[in-house]
Amino acid sequence: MAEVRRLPVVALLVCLLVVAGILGRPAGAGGAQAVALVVPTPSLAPALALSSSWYCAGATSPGGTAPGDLLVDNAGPGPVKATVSLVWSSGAASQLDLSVPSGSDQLIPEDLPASPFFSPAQWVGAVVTLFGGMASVSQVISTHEGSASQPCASSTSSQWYFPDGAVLRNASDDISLLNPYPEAAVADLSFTTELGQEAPDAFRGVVVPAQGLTVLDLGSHLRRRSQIAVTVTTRAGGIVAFQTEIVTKPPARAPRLGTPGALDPVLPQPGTGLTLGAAQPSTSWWWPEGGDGPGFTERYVVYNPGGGTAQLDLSLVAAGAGEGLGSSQQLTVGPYGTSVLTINGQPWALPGIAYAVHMRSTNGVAVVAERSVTAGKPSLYRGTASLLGEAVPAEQWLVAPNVQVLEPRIRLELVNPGTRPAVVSVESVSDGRREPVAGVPALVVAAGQHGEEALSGVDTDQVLVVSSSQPVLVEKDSYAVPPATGVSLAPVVVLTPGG
Amino acid sequence: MVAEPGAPPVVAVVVTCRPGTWLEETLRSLAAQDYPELSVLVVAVGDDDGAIANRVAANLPDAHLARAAAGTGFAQAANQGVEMVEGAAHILVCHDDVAPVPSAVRLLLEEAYRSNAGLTSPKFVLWDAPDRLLAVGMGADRVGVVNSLIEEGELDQGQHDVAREVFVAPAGAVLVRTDLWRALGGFNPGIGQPGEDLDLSWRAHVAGARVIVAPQARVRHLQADKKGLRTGPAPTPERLRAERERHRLRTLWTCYGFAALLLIAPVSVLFALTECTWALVHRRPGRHVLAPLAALFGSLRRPRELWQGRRRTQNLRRAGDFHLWKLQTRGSARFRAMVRLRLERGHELAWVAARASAAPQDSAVGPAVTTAVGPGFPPAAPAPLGAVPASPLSEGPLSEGPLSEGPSSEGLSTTGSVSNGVPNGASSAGLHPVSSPAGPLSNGVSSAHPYPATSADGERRASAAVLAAVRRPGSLLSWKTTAITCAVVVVLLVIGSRDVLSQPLPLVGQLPSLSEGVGGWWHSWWNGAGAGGLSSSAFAPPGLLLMGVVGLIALGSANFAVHILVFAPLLLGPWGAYAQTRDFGSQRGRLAATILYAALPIPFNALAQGHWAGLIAYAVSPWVIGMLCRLGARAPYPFVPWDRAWPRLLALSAAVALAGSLAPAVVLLVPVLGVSLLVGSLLAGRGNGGFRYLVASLIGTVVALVALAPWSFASLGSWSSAIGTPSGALHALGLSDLLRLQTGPYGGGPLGWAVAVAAAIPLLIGRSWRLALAARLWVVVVAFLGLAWAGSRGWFPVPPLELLLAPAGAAMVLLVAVGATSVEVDVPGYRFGWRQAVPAIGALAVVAAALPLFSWVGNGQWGAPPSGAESAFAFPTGSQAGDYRALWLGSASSLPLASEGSVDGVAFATSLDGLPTAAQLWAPAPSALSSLVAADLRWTEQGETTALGRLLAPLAVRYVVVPTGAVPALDQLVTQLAQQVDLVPVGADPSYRVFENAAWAPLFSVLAPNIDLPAAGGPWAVASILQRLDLSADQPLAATSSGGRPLAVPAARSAATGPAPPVVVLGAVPEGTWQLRSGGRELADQTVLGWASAWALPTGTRTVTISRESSLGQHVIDIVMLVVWALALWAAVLRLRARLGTQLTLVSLDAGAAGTGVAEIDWSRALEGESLG
Repeated sequence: MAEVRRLPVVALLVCLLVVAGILGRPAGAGGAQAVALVVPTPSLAPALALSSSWYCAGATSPGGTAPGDLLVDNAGPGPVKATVSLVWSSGAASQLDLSVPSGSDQLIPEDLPASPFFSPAQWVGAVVTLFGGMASVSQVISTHEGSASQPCASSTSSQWYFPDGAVLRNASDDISLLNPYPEAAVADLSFTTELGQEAPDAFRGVVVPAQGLTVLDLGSHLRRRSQIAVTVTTRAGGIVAFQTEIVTKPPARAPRLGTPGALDPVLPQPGTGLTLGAAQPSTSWWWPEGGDGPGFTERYVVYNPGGGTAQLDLSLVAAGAGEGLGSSQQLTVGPYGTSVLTINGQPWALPGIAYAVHMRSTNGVAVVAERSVTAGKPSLYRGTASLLGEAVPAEQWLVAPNVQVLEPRIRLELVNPGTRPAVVSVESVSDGRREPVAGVPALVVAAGQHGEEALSGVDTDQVLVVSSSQPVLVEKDSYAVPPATGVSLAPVVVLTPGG
Repeated sequence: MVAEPGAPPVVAVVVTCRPGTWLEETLRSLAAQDYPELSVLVVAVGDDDGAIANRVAANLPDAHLARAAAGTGFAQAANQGVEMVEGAAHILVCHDDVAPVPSAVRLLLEEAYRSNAGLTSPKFVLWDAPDRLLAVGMGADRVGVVNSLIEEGELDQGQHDVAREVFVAPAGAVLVRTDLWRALGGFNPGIGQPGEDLDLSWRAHVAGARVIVAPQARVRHLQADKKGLRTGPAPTPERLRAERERHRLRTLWTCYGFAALLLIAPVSVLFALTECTWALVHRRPGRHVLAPLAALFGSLRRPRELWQGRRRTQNLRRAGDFHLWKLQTRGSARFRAMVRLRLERGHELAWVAARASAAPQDSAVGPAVTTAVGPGFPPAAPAPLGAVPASPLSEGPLSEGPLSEGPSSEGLSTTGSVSNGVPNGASSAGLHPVSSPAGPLSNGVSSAHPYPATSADGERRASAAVLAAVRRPGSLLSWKTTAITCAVVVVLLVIGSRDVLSQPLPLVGQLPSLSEGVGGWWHSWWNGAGAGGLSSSAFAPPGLLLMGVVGLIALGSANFAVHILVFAPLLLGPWGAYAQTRDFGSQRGRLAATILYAALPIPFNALAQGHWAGLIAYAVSPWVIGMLCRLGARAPYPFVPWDRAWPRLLALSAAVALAGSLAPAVVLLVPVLGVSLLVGSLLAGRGNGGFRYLVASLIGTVVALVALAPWSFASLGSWSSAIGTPSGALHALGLSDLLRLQTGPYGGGPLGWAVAVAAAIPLLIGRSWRLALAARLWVVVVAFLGLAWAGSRGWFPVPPLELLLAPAGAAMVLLVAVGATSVEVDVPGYRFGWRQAVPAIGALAVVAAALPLFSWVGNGQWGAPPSGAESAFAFPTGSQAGDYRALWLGSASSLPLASEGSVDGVAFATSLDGLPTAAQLWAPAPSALSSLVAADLRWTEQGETTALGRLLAPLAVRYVVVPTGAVPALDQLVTQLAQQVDLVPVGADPSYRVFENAAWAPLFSVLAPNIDLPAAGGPWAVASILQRLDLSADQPLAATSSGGRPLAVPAARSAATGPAPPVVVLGAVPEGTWQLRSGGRELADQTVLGWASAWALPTGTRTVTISRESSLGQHVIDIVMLVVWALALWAAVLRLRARLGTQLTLVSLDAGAAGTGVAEIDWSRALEGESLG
């Protein structure tokens, strides 16, 4: 019998071990496969979904300060049935079943049935259950100072953040907490104002009833605060939080905010805002549209809800290659602090040029940021609006009809955060089919740049779908033409997540 | 003799009965004594014909002769003889088969005076081999079990030649002070042979006398009674044994004081019960199970005589029992004998095999036994062995052992060590050949290797080399070292388990649940797993039966049984490593393998994570690998042809079946082992015959599957049932983790590499079969590490990773043992170089690899959490609001029950009314309901529903329980669960996320009147309907807790308009699995939702009974399976017994003792057992 072979055995085993070591390194270092985080950006359920739930709050019944309407849009291939459950701050509730045909929308006023037991002016929340996918729910509030629209939330969270708010003589700020679950939730609110961190007892341990609504008027305990950042945290359960800001017309002789020595300043421009909070901070925020022309004031409010100091970089991304990348600005926000950056007048600003804005954290500390726009003279438009940054790009977006809102000056603002050009087209949905919108050509958005698609003249009562060859971020802006007032900056509902 | 004035007279009282030819030598040796004042009195028992008188007259004319009636025992005859003596200061009481050296009496007397001894004992040596020791005094433990103070048969090199105090002076020859004899009354007439020497010595101690051994005085002892050399009737060994026990106990009752007796009596009773239990488990022909108890009661016979003897003894008391305890042997002499016997049996077998392998090379093997005779002895006459009848097999460690008896008692009555059916002359002296360098050497076998380790014959012939290596002194360790090492390992394991041994085990992972109790296990095995699962397996898992049996052994304590089931692998595994390395030829290697296997992190990580299957694999891996290697019939294992290998195949199959009944995946590992060993053979250039590994593994697997039938075929038909559900990427193990076998919190850190280092040694320095075996085992290691590596990345479904790493770990420690052999055999053959450093490196590696175990024991519960699923939530009972299911989500290895399906790496399973039962540790075959749940969860995970509760409501799912932090993919699902509007987070345990389904419906309920369930439909269509239905208003029927009793039907609510709708009972169970009766009549069920059962009740029905369908066929098959198992077990026991007898015969025949009848050796069989060819 031949001698046992040592070399082949040793060599083979060593080779195997080396190969295993090489192959094992990436997986070993990276661990398990990455799992996408669920970002509670309003997003549509897939077409074959059994059900999806939408949660709306921040509006009042018609007799209140911010009467609201629900708008159900169906971009799916067939009709979708829905159950609308309205809950009032008084505890009353009502339910409504409806069916929305494909490619159409349905407006449901958040009205209160006549009752001698209830005040007609109440805050209202809505839980809309859609028995199907490819449909969204948004909410519109209309006041004397303007209108604002906001997609409803498609998920709940245990934390919500609002970077910007104010309680002044002509500014109110209300936080609506909606609990869609069959168990009560308990929430705590904490604030960062120009006076520092505040946590009034009245906002601690707030009980949000099961399938109920609780609205907190920040002005009841926080007064004469021009900068309020809010953190809502639940001890148990999940909720949805909306912020309703109403700025009325300031008294003629009242000192404007920013006037030196003013004891009781007011905000200069009336307006209405409805904001769904950010469910989580992020290290990267995008705003597809930016610009500071005459009469426009643009500012960015950054709120750092964490314990670390955030080092940020704000970049202005211009539209065309020939116009350059604009410029950037560094920003530092301390723990639990806020910072406001006004673009106008800055040496690095790009007046008269449309751009997109990108804010990113250079040291990994996540923040929440909001863009705030005030339009006044000598601009053609009047009003205020704010928009939280967007973090998740997508390849398809659902643009809700522009029902009742403002005037037809509607623009879709886009930004392509990727590295390849995106070809963007706008389609309308009709009877389950998508068709290109006449007069709206396809748009090519270069990598890392801003794009704009004007929808003026388009039938804005139909459901539109923005499709892109690359993941992009989309924002819908509406401007009321005088004599109407109001500016609305609204996110668009994600149809197909990407990027 | 020349008279020496002043010398104290001594009388030798020789009791003789039916003496053989040895009497003359006894008499002549007495006549040759150099002590002048010695007289001899021969007491002839039953010498009616005067033959003895004539022989005495012829050989010792000066002797006095007394006659005793036939049938008089030794003790009585000695008493009678001493009564006749007057004027002697000392009496030498001796048997007729002892031959003292000429100076013996003088030296005894000198030592008696020097030490002021009451009893003085000589040193006993073998009759035929005076250079071999038989006894140098005897000891006794505290319950009177006599033990030898030396190694019987060890070479007398003067190592025990120091006069010292002993507890027992053997009665073969003992010098007694006459006044003491008179005071004691001689031998106790109530305690005759055997055991009279223990009694006499003990009473002497009580009286304050000293019992001294004078080793300078040597006496040859034939042990004629023990060897059955006397003519005429002789008591059977069983009777002798019983008599000895009875006399021992009677001595206890007599000699102990009252206080000590209060302590000793219960201990003795406990010992008797333990021995009965042992005998019950180890039944052997001729041994009565109740013999220990019979001896206990027999010792109390003739109470008056017992009482008088006790009173007489206690009146003599001069020494307290506490003082005497210091003279006695600590611990249990019998237990030590048992341990020693077991440990040495392997050595003996290996040595016999070595002898067998050497035989053809050396024609001198044979009767060339040289008998060294010490100075002063006449040439020894060969013992008349040919006429010796067979004596029975050693009776086991708890009854007798080679060390528990000596030449004492009757000096002759011990049955020897392990001999059975062989001439006993071979037994006593030669049963320790391993520790006796004079064994084979004296037989002419060279101590050099019969075959060079690098022989061109390679593996087969090299087996002889390794077996011969056993004989090399360097490879030997004493049994004490082995015992101490094993004891340390056991103690460490016990210390490390201290916190969980004393309390119920937490329900972590798939550790068995004890919530139902042993009765529940039996009930579940007989009746099935119940309605908790989504599918009902047709046949109960045999593992449940095994758990029930263990529960019975644990006397019905489920807690104790679970501890046995969980912690026994910690001992079984190292035991397997020790047992399966016995053929390698290195005792150090065996110990190293044992220690290292005990110190591997695999079982502790399995315990920490509740991976019972990992523990089972850990326990069985070394056994299975060893059995497969043995069946491969490559060196160092003996060659066995296929037609004679079936017992080994049966043993392999039984081991696999037993393990597979508890951890089904183990069954599928065996073919992988077979393939790996085959590949290893090919790799090493030993492909010829390598297919035996594969064939053996396949046969073992198939037989195991058949043995587990019908459950195995019914439930293991699917991959997921056998292996587990796809779990996705769990915890991707790197190469470093794999080679250190670290799958959880336990690992040796940098020291964890030491095992791999030690395992690499045979690959680097091994030659011949050691290198070939190392190649095979390394392929096993690589194969299983590769499986674990790929499985941890989610490439295919895998069981708990410890189950895959256990064979790799077992192969590694076997490699360590092979490496030790290589160090001992191969390294000396190399020129000076780096290889000479290998022994030190190997030793360091072994020590380094074992060190972490010392730190791990500090935890006290091996990292297992203090609480498990039982603390996840206070689940309500099913009788409160109706029975319900809990849906468990997580990784398959983190669930407290076997998964029934999975979705994107998240496994799920359901249990009834809260916690799962033990029956749910085994995965049933996938069912339609599993796919329904999977679809529901997939919709949830993808955000396609926000009403999961309603989807799960018809399945009676009330709770969704998720062990946190197990699977990354679970985060997505848990996030989506939190978004479901009908799931409410409950519970406070941070280790579990628990959601209560607000929309749940009970397992059996009366459907609300306004509910209209579809009969069938696709999953999506049914689900879309369920989304809009609220079943939470259904009225519950607590069927499973009713015990089959009638249940009141809740009054159906009236419809708003129109006639009252029919009352419908909805059952969240598959159609056809449950029966509903109303008024004694079985109602036909209807199918709703495509799978659920519904019964429309006749108008006016007030009560119904709900019960599960019983399957008579299932019970019949279960019983048939039991019968087949019993028959197989019976056959295996018979065969094993036969084989054991054969092996022991070989051992005894080749014991190498002087006078061994070598002609009795069945060399052909011995050769056949080797690979020589």
